[in-house]
Amino acid sequence: MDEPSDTVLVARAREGDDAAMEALARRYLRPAYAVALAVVRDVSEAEDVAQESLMASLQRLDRCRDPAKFAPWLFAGVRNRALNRLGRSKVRAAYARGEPREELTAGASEGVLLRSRLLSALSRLSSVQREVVLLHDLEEWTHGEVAAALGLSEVMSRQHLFVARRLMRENLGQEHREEEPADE
Amino acid sequence: MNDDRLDLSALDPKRDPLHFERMVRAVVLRGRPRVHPVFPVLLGWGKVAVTCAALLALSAWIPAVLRWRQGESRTPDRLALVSSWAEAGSIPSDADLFWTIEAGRGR
Repeated sequence: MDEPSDTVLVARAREGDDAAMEALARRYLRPAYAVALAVVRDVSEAEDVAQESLMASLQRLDRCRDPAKFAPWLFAGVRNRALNRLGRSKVRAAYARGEPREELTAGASEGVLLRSRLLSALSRLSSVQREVVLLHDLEEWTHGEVAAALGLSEVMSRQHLFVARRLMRENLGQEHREEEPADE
Repeated sequence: MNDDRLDLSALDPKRDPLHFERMVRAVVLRGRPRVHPVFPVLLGWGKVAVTCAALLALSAWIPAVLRWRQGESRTPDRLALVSSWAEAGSIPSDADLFWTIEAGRGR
C-alpha cells in the first residue's frame, strides 16, 4: 500500500527515471482510457487517445505545475485530444445523436455485443456521469479519488454515480427488452 | 459496499493482459521526455564561431602582408636614393627626407 505518490513519481520521471515513468503509465493508462471512452465511446479510439495523451503528458512533465494534481492535468489533455479526434472523425454526427460508435456485424461475439450495449447505455449519460461511472466502477477509484481528479466534490461524485447507475440499468434493461422477440 | 457496482468488464482494456501490457510498453517507450537539442545547437554555433575566428585571424594578416609588399617595392628605391645622396655628397631636400622616413616607418 506504500506506493509512491504522484508527486514523487512525477519528480523522479522528470529526472529521467524509467521506472517512475512506467509506474505512472501503469497507474494512469486505464483511467485515461476511461476518460477518453467517456468522450469518444469507442474502445479502440479510446485506447489510442489514452496512449497518445499519456505519452504527451510524460514528454511534457515539466509543464505540470503541480505534480500532486497530475491526474486532473492528464485528464484535461485526454479530454482535449478525445474531443479533437471526435471533431475530425466521421462519427461526429453519431455522437450528436448519442449513438454508440462500435459497428455491429452479423455474428459478432457475445463480448462485442455486450460492449456495444454498454457503450449504447453510456452514450445516454452526460459526459461527467460517464467519467464518474467509468472511473468508479471500471477503474475502482474511490469517490475521493474521482472527486479530486475531476474537480468535483465527493457529494457530487456520489450523486453522479447514483444517477449514472440508475440510468445505465434502465438503458440496459430497455435494450435487453427491445432485443427479445415479441412472441416470447 | 459496492454491491451496486456495474459490471463494465467488457470495456476493460485489461481484459486482454497482453494487449494492455503492449499499450503500457508503448507509452513508456515513446513517452520519454524529449531531450532538448542543446548539443546540436551548440555545435552549430561553435562552427560559426570557429569560422569567424579563422576569418578574423586571416584578416589580421592582410595589413601586414600589404605593408610588406609595399615595403618590398619601396625598399630598393629608398636604398638607391640614400646611396645616391651618399655618392653625390648632396644634401637631400626636405620632401625626399620626409618620404624616406615615412617609407621606413611603413615597412
